[in-house]
Amino acid sequence: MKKNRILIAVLSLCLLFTLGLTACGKKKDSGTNGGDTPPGPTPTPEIVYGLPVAATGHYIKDADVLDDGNTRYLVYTTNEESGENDNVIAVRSGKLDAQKGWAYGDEKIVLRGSAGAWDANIGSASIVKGNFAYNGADYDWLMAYCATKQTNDTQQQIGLAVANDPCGTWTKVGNKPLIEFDADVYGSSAVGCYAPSLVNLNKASIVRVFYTYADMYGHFAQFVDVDAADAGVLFTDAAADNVDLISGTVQLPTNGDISGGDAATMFPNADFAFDAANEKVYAVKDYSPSAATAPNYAEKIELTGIAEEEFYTVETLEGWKSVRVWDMMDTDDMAYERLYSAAIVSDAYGHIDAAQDFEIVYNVCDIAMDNADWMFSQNLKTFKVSLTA
Amino acid sequence: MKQQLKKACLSVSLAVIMLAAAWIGLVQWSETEKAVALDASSKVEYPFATGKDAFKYAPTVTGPTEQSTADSWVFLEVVFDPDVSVGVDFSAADYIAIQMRMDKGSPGFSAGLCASTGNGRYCTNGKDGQKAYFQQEKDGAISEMSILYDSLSFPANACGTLYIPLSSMQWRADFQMGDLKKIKSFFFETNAKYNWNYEITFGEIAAVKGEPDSADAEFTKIVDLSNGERNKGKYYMNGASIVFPSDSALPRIPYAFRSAATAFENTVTWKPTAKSQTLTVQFDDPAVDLSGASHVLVQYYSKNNQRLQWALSDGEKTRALKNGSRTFFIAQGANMGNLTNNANANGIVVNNGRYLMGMVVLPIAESMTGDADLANVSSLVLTADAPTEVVIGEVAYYTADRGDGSYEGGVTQKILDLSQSKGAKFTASVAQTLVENQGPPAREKNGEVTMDFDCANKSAEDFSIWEGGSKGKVEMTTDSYGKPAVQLQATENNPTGDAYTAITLSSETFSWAGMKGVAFWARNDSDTEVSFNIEVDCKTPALVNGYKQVVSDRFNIQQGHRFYLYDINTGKTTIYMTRPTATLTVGFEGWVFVPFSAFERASWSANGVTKNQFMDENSVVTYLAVTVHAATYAEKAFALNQFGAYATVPSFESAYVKPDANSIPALLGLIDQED
Repeated sequence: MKKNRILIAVLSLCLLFTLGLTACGKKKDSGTNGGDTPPGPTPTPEIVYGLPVAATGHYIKDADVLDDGNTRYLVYTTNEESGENDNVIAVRSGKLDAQKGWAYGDEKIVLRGSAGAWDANIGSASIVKGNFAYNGADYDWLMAYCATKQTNDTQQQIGLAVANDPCGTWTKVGNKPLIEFDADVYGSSAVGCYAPSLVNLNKASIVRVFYTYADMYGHFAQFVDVDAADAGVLFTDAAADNVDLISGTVQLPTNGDISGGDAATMFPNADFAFDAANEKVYAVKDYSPSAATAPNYAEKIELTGIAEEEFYTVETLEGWKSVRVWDMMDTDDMAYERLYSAAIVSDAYGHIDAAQDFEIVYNVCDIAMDNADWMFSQNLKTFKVSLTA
Repeated sequence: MKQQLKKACLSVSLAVIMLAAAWIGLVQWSETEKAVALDASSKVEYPFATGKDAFKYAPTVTGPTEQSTADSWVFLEVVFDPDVSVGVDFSAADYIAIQMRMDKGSPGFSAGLCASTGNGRYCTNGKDGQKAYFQQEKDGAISEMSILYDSLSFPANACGTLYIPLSSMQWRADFQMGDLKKIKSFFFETNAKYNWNYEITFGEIAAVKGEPDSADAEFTKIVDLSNGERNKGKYYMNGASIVFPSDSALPRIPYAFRSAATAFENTVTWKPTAKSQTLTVQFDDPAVDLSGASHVLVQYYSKNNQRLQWALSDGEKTRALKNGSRTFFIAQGANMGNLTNNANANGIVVNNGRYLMGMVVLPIAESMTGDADLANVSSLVLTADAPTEVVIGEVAYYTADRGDGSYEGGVTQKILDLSQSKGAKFTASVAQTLVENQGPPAREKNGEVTMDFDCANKSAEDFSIWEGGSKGKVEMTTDSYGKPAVQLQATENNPTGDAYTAITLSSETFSWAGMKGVAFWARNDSDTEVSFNIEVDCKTPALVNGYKQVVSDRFNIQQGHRFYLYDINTGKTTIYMTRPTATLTVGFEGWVFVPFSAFERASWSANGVTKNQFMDENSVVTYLAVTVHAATYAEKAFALNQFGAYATVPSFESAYVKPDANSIPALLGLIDQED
């Protein structure tokens, strides 16, 4: 009898324990009393349309946006830890609802700095589709990212990474930058090479790496052409004297119709897209000079275009032709005094062949005077503009 | 009584004799014995023009340049405006006023008036101690002068009006007596034994009745230059030379011949190998009437600066450039002959027109002498003074009135038209010295890029460092091809001088006309970026005061322009930015191509050459230098060599951009070498 009572007690306790576990493991619905969840279908998470909004204590900035068929990839810089300025590269993929717009999926952090390495502190990134290889493996996507060993955003250099899926695993190529900045020669306080923007020229492996070069003379756009069919070769001695692997550097012209207030026209923080059909290149860039008060970001952005051939000659030809300049007055409720770090939505190769309509994704943020935590107010907005308007 | 009468008669006689003697004396010394009231404190309204145009139409007399060992009289006579036969009445005048300017030296002169008839001179001779006055143009101040040794001595740089009281002059005793009522001229005279090496400009002259400082004074101009230069015949010189403003006037004759691409077609290159060899140029017609022409125009181009005599021939006699005469060179694109060349007995050197296609302008009446019948000229004959090489082309004559000396507004008539080949019209005394051209002269090149300056046969001493700038160092090295090159560096900033080290590479003349930019070999021998400027003097016809004349201005590279760097070791072309000037990246060795669009005229050089005219089709380069900011680039060495120009704009090259023919290595002809 005594053994039966013990057995019944144990069984009862087991039953109670099991019931308790079941209750803990169950997700709590918001709005429930914390008791047992009634049985029924699991609610579908709400779909959020439009550009993602940074969670509290986070920022979203320096976007690169491209459409691969029906999928839109949004590449951006965010912070890994809430409230911290610890940049990482994140990617979200989006699907289009014809009525409601783009719905972006979960954020995937795809690239982090490597402690103690040249890229300890990540800047921004740009990706492009193509035919690439590294260490014997084929890859469909190439990334250029800027980073630095410094903690104050100076001496930036540009490296490469490869992946088969933008939301997948990215593998850094080599252990040094592709585009270096020699701080001993050009100044340790200079920003260096930043804001990479990729265009796959032949939609295969010949990629144009645009970036902004900044030193004591200002911020100017440059590019090199690389053949990343075997990305690893680009970091060997073979590339040093092979113009087909890595070309010489081209500084872009700054003549023509560009808005700016500097004595010498600058071309900072630009994103590029290639209209191969019309042999034109478009860029959306920050206005310079930047704001005099914190944050010292641009107060305007400008979309402008130029004939491709003008890149390849030093002759002063027609130069850039401005499409549109946006400023605070163009933002929702004129709420933002900082507009910067814009991107042109292109196809997966960075092309916008014969496009007449442009979609621009850009950054806004609060100003320090209004919000001491302005850094975590950085989010993305969008404009649309038509060439035929 | 009688005694008293005798005494009275004697007194009267003596008085009469004394009066008569006194009267005679007055005639001998001065016809006007009025007291002179003018002095250094007098306030006289300046009687003539003032300012920069005060002597606009006044001639300048140049005295002997050397002292004479014996008496040698220099005489200048300025004839008054009225006809000589009429003359000017000075009988009621109190002063003569002469506008004058001492341009050089401080000579002494006797001065005076010449009678209309006879050789009478009413002058300062024999009037030592008497006064004259000089009023300064700039402030009207009057200074007193005293006649000494018959002369008035003028201070150096005196500019104003000389007042000579008529009472300070007299009829010269050893000349004929004259009549002050008929005076034809004013004269100056001096002895070259005591006065030499001077220049005086003579302006207007006035007769003054009354004291010049009196409100009632009457100034009557008797030499009036207010309407322009007077007839040269109104001036007579002996022992000195005189130059009129119109003598230095430059001809304004439009360029008469073909330009640019066709300029050299069917011209000839003549290369005489010895003195006295000739080139005869016949015209389209067997003979041409140049009797009414003012100038002969000859299309001309040369890199050299050897002398040639130019002569017109009627088949038997010639008319050639005379010693001391002026000729002009009007460059293609210009219409004013500001490049002048004076001839000696063997002709002219067109040194200032080297490398410029243009026309030699020969004033027929003023600069050529000889017995050739100008109504029947059959050829132009050039005679060499030494071995040389020149291009001769078309020939024309120009007909215009002299006017102000510019001969503006005339008519040009071509007498040898080379729109077709006419080799037979050119005959050289030595046949092998003549070649017909179909285009511009050949030049040394690297591929398609010209090579106009290099360091062959040069030493460090050939590259001068400007003493007014910062310090630098020049050494010789070799370039990538083993050729001599120059290594430059700034060494030290000059705190009291210019912040830049300036090193002259070349003062020779060459042409980059119509090219797109400068190309040169360079190597950065330092461990940092090095920036240096390229300084060039561009000489070309530019609009100055309404006329196109050849002038020169300095141009250099400005910040913010793009240029090419081709590294011969990596084979890569970079498009870089001038930071702030031509910039060599660390480790660079290769070729630099800088477009002329990156150049701007130096702020301190403002002779008229515009940015659009920089390296235009009519231009030449006469100076090439490098400047380095010493404080920034001290001890940062770099090497340079093989400067030239490119006409085809290069292209960037990459895996995607394949320019082929206009890549930099292709333009330089390096492709085969690299392969």
